[in-house]
Amino acid sequence: MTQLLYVIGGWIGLVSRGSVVLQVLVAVALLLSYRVWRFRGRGSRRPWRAVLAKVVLAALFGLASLLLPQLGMAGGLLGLFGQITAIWTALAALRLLLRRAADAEAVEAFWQRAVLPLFLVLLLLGLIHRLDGLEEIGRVPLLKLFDQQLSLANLLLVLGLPYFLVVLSELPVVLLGEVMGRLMGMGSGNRKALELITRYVLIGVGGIWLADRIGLNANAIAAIAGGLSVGLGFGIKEVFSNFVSGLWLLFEGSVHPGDVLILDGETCQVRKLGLRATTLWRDRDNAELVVPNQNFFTATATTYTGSDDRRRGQVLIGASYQHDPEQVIAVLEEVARAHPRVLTDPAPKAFLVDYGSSSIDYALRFWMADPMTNLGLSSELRRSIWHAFKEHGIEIPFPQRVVHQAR
Amino acid sequence: MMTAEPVRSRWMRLRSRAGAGLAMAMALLVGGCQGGPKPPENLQVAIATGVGSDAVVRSSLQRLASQMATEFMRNNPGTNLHLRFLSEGELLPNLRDHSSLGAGPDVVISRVAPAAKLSSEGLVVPSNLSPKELDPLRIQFLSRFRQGNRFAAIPFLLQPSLACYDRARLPTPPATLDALLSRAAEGVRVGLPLEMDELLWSASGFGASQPLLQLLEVDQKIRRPLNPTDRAKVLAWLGWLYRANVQPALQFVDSSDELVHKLATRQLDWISCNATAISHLRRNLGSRLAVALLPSGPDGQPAEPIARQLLLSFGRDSTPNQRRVAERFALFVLNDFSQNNLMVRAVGNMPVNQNVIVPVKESPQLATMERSLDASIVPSFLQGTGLRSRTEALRHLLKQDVYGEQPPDKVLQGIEALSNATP
Repeated sequence: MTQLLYVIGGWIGLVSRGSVVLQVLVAVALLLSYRVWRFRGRGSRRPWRAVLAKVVLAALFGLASLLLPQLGMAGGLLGLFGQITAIWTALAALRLLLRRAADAEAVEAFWQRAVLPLFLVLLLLGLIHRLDGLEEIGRVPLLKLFDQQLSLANLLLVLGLPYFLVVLSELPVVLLGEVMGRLMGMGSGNRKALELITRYVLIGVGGIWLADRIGLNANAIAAIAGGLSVGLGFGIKEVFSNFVSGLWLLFEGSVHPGDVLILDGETCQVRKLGLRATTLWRDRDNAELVVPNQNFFTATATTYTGSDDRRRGQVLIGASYQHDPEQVIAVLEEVARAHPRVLTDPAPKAFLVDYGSSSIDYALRFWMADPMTNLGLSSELRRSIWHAFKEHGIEIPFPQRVVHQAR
Repeated sequence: MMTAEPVRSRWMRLRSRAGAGLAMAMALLVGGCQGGPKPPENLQVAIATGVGSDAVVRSSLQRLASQMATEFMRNNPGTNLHLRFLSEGELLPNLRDHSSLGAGPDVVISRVAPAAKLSSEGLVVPSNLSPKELDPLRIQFLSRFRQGNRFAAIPFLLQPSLACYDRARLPTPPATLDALLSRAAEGVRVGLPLEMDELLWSASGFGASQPLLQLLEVDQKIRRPLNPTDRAKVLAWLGWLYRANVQPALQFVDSSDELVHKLATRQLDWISCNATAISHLRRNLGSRLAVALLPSGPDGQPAEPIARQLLLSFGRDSTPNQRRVAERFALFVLNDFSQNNLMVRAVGNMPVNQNVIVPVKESPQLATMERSLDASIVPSFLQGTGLRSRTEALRHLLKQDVYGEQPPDKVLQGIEALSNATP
């Protein structure tokens, strides 16, 4: 640590020089002008105007970097700021284009989680490289880990690589999944499983590379494994159990992202199969449910998408005793057949299910392609039945009771 | 669910705070925290550690520089030296890049050729040290670097060329070039480098080194074509090189570094080497290592090797205070105590400070180095750079000569053609 502070102290000697201070002051003045312009709200409502302003800012940096050497002063730092601004501007433009082309929220999330941190890290490393040389500072020893001297470069890798592996592997595996899905004709569930497994493999390989890079030897790994086994026994047993369950679910294929399940009587769609938990989306109230993976091992899971995606729905209705059941059944089946979202094969079928106290009770059973649409489709069918009954003069009786008075 | 807006506003807040923090840090940095104790003065020292793969020289110079820095900081509390080691190839691009930012080094330690380039590009500036400050140090070869009333660079150390050999295999070193070939014919494994500046000592035995140096000068004013007598001398030398390579036990290798490695691993018995390799060889060969003067010519002309010379140059971007400290550092490493210390502790380096008495009686090794230096060619800014800038082309021509691909007169024509081309 002392050596690191010593190296950083050397930079103070560089940045305290008149030529560097002058460049920094020019850069700060230009940045402040830009910020004031943004603060007045001129750039916030029109993002493309803000991009244009950044282009102007980059150009001003470049111009200043050319002017200062003419006055016999160094201007390279301003040129460097200009390059950084130009890259940032290009990224900002790309962000706007992506927001238009794809889901804006997803783009924003990826931007905040991956692009921005990566840009900042590369910016910092780039500045250090120009100022002092990355190799020199990267070799500075910081601490000992399992008898291995951990250099600054390795420490930064240990801290940063897992994050970027997790975050940055997201997009490439989705693209890979798309390509593989098209080439091999995979369903969305299998595609998502493939994506997830590929991602875990990438993260695993990255982790192994990292362990090798920082020089973790077999003894160190044994020590980690020993620590984990104790940890597994106490604190993180559930986490590990959920992780294994998640992997098992993927390989077994019983639950895929995209599957439709019944959870506590509600229809939900699997959105994400995570390391620890599965995220389900509940249509009824647009809620996301985070369910620990091991629940799928310890409780019965009802799915509509196991062998196929079709679901059977049912509408119960009562008709007055005065109507011929044949006519009622014919009307019900006709209504179902006329609905575009009711599958023709298997054909919809109506049944007389009971002689009730007030009505003859019928059940109309029908099939749909999308299991998540049951409630909406049932509602539409009930409305159609009401109109069809009215058209055919079929009465839907109120509950009635015949009371006989003894004389 | 999380929406984009809160994320963005959080990011804006974070960015504003980071901006404020950065501004505060910059203000503190620029202001230099004037109320507190005086901050240490940080000095950047760039050290060009030999050419490319010259690992032996590099490690020797790194050790030497670290010793100097430690001693200077011990004597100057509140001063931090930050050493950056670069190869000669990296030095110029690195300094161009850093100086464009205003962040060039305060002191540069390099050999003559790169120092000349840095000076011609204005990446280093002449020293402000006055003759009054420098005269007492009696610095050898200082006048060669005079630019008006100032000095473009200051000589720092000299590194002579020698013959290094394994005394267990070769009790007496060959005194002449003919004796060297005779020993090779007897089976003594001899190694020579295919680098013109490291091999030129063998040309001096034929009286060919000065004509070649003048022929290959970059400066048109100094360059002189070969006259018939000089041509005959150079052809005699090229003929000797060819005859030398006919000996199965004598081999030419691409670099001095490779020669040192081969002697250290006992694949060779005798090599021409720079004195900076002694400590590395000593670690490997122990008491079996011996050093001697390079062999003289057939008619007894002494070998005139090109001695390496390290120079101190001053960066152009330093603050006045940094410049003062840099010059104090220069005076420190040039004073009698440091130069004596460097001579004793960093084996292979000879002082430029003539006040330092070389203990020739106590150390035969230092005596040999001193004698080698007496006969050496020590290049100035204008001399010797032609060889370094044409290293690859000259190596190719020398290879054609020693492997018999071209007769000596054709090789000489190639050297003459090279001298007319801009390096």
